Amino acid sequence: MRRPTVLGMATVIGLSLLATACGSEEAAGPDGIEGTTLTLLTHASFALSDSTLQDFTDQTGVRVEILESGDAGTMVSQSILSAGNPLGDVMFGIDNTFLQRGLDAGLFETYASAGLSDVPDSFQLDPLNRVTPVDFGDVCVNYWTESLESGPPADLADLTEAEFADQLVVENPETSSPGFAFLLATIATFDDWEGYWADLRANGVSVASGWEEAYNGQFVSGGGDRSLVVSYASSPPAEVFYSDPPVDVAPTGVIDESCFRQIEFAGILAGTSHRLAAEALIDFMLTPSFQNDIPLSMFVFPVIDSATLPTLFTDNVTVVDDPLTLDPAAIEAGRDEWTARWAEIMFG
Amino acid sequence: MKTATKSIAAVVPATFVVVFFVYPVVNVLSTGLAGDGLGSLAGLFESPRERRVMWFTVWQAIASTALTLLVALPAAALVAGLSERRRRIVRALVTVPFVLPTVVVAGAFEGVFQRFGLMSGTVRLHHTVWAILLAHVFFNYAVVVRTVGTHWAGLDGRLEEQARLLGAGRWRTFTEVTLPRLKPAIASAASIVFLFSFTSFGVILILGGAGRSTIETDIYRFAVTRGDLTTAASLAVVQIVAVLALISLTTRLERQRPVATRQPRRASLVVGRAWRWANVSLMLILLGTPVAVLVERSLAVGEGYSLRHYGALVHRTRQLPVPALVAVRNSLVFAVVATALAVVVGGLASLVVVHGRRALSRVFDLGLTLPLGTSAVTIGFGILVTLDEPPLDLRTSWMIIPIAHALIGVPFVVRTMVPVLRSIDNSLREAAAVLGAAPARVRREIDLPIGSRGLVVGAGFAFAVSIGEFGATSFLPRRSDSITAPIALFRLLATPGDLLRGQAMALAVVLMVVVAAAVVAIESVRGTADGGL
Amino acid sequence: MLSVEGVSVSFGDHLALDDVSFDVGDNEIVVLLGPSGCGKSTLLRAIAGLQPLDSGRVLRHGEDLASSAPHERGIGMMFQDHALFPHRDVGQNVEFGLRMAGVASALRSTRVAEILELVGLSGFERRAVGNLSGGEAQRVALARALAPEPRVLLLDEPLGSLDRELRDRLVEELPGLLREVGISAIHVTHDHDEAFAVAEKLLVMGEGRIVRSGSPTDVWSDPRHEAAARFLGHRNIVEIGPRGEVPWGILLSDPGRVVILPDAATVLSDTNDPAVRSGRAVEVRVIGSRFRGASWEVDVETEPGGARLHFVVPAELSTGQRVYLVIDPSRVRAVS
Repeated sequence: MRRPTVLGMATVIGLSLLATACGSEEAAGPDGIEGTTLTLLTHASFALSDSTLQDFTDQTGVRVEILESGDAGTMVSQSILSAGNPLGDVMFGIDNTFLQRGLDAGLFETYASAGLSDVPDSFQLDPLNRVTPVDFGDVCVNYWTESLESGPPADLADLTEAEFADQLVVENPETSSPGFAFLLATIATFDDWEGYWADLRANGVSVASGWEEAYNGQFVSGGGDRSLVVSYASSPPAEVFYSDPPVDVAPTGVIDESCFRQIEFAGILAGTSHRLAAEALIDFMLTPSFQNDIPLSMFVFPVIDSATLPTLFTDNVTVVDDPLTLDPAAIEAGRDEWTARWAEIMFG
Repeated sequence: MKTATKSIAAVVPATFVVVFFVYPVVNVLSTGLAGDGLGSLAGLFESPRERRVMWFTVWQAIASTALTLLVALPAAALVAGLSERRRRIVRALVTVPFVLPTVVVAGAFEGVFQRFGLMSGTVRLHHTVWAILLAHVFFNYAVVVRTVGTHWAGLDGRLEEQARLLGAGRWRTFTEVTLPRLKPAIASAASIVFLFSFTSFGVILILGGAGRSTIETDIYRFAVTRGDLTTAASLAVVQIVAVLALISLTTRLERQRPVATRQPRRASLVVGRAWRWANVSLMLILLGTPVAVLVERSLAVGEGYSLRHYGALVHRTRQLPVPALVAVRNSLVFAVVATALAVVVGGLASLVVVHGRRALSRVFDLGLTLPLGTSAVTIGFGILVTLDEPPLDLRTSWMIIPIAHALIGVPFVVRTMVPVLRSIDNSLREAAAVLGAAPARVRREIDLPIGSRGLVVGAGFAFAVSIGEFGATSFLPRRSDSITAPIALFRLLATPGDLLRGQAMALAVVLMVVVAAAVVAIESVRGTADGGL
Repeated sequence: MLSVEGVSVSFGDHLALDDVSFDVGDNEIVVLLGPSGCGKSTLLRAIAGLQPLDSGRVLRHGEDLASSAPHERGIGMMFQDHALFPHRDVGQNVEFGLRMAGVASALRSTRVAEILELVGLSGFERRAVGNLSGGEAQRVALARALAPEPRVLLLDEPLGSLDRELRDRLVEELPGLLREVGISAIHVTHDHDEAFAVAEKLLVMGEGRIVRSGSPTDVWSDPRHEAAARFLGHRNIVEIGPRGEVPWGILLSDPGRVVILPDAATVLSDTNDPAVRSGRAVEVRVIGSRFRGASWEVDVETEPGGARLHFVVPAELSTGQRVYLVIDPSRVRAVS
């Protein structure tokens, strides 16, 4: 993908002065990686405590600059477009619903971190170790406890019952990551998932374009009138953590049987010139200091067995033992057909 | 001499647009279409779904434009009749919706719908085309009021008085004397509203309901969700061709030479009292209600009210890389840079559009407006894959954000400045020439100062557009500490909890106040620059 | 000295200037007189370089100005409606040309003050141009044109928009002012009174051509061209037959179209005058009479519905009065 140079035009206006060169080349000596600056490409939901990455710099002498892109899908598409001249050295945040696309495009370099020994096998979806699992979160139906007097639905099938008519809001799988995960949950659960969605539609399900609209707009929590919403297993602790005025018990709960597992991975981007430093960063992501920061920063769960969950999490949510899953390759292969079929059922 | 000066005015904007728009877009589209591009393009027109999407894109944009003109033109008349100081304030206030992220406005609209029982039942607005049109009017109201109102204020009211004395009624006077002179400004405003509606993203998805798609939302769907870059590129080509066709149509309208305006002794106003009140009320309801809902939500804490959410903006929450106020500061810095770029590029380009040879003038007019009608995905991805090598590796530079914002701001500057420049009596330029001013000097001494009336209004737009920009920014990679306020706001809303929601609303209100103050400040620069012309 | 040689300009099919030539001497005031649309404004713009020529040349002291842009010609121009810069005050308008010429700021203010004093607007520097009266605006425009000391000044209907009284006053002042600064000027107008008052040399234009030129007296008393005659205000244009017959009798002059100058008539007070008896005098009825101070302007007709003539006479004649007139053949001029 060589392209003609823009140098001629650029010099005309001298904007080159303003453009800072990427990935500054402070030489990483043969002995060490000290002084290197790594660029960590991630999606716009990435968050960590200030001290966490500082710890990494203190330990290794490697500075980390964070480059954010849009959502995970945007980040993957952008990385595919810029393959060979990567935006950064390490990508964080590609999940199992986009994983196959990234692997197929050859975005990552193989690296098996020693820390993987502390990660359960169920998270290690790529046998070739091109990506490393870092965190997971479950997309589940959440309910507003107060408005469901006779109790929440027990499972996905219950959602088509008249009792819960006009109560559920889901996200459009064509534009929303949890929306797509929920569609996968129904596909993993029902052979006739199409019939299930037709029933949901008949039962007055509402489709929002994204999580923000669904949760903050239509769900009771944000002032709406629907008491069931597709959200995350970690939403109840977040409701407590960010409650105002403060509460101790989450006003929401999670339907365990509805949970589809999303695992987020990190990988070394092919073409990086800081391979050793990148390896160090991947290693660091599997250490307790990084893993323990994950829950309250990004409201997802750490992958290593030795991580400790804050009481906020342990009090308000139980991690589902056998969540719904689908093979990443099957997801990538089925996506277009499933979403198109879904749109026909819902809007046809 | 003549050619040298002309070429400087032409080279700067041309280089800017070619480097940051044309070349990246051509590059990404040719990459996308490299395989079976033509087949995919043809396939679009054979697919009933895509045909429906294209048709819906066009008609909702036309309907939005017509409705916006209908609602906002009387307001433009109202604004034209105000004193300069009041006009400046109203012009700033109507700009406020510009900076509100769609997700926030959509929330406010839904809040209004809930309160007035419009979520369901016979008069349902929730998830309908009407909600889309209403939101487009809300966002674009300012475009018409500011562009047309400013031009209107410069018309000589004696012509209307003459028409009235000759026996024309109010309506005849308006249609036969005022309207023809307003036509260039109306065409200008209408084309911007159309382009905004044509490439609208959040409004379509959120307010229209999940089933609605336009070319813009489908480009996202194919490029990001499905990873089908070929189809996305085909759609992007269709979008650009459609936009080009439209702009060339409106520029023809704009070109009809307006009657020369002189210093007005009286504003050309034929608006009756009842009209004024009806209009002010409409303006207050349309713009005021969602804003009031936001303010109320930003103050609500539990059952009572407090300023606590505002106080929280100073501190960093875990969901943001920096305190929210730092994001506001970032946005301000980007907006200042973007506005400066847009003013320089757009100002020079306007001169070329007005004074350049016909063909050059057309190319500039089209080329500089096009970014407004091009998908944020196309621009974002284009810059990403093109400006990726030194000396112009912008992918990781903070400059990428103000440059992208300036691309969207330039059309505003051009569209508000060109009608003003065209209305300058040519004898002023000739007088300057015979007094010894070379052509470039004439531009500087006559066109720019008098055109500054349009320039500052355009600059105000460019500033507001930059402060509120979400789409293109979210598609561009950026350093986490250079997060903009709208992105920060979106992130606050991406995690459950009343605390974050309250902060997000407070941040939205801060943004509104900031932009209103900034626009007032920008536009008062002109007050001193040209002696209140 | 400025020379215009064979200048032609056309707009599409319309020939706006058709082979126009004339000279303007140093410190000479030339007036271009003609009806609107005759091409006189186009001619000024052509001289200033604002209008490209189809053919012909404009020379200053023998040097062709073709390659000089308007701003390089050193020619001043006062525009119709003045074209004052609305975004600048009076002082800034007047100093504009000086600023373009790179004159230092201190010098500029002195010069602006001087020139404003010359046009009678001392102390007007900081006034906004929007608040000036018509006469003030006109003076500012003149001051602005004069400030850079051009060698030639072009004035395009400079007094056109002013009221009569102001105009008369400025018509009187203008030549003196121009002479005081010592400048060649080309003054365009459609008003012959203004033209006579200002001109040292008068050029009468019609349909893109100069139809008559000369001193105002010469041009007026011998217009030579019917259109010029009409435009100069002559109303007694008649056809003389092969034997000297005119509608009211006989006029002893060469046959053809002629203009009878308004001072050609002598009123006979005595009906026994030999002229009456010899039939050289014509009996007319006065149908209109206007006092002009030193003289009277009268309109007469030879018989009801007959020829109407217009004369200037020294003594009063009242409307309805019947008198005998003798027309002096030496005050009759042939026109083409």
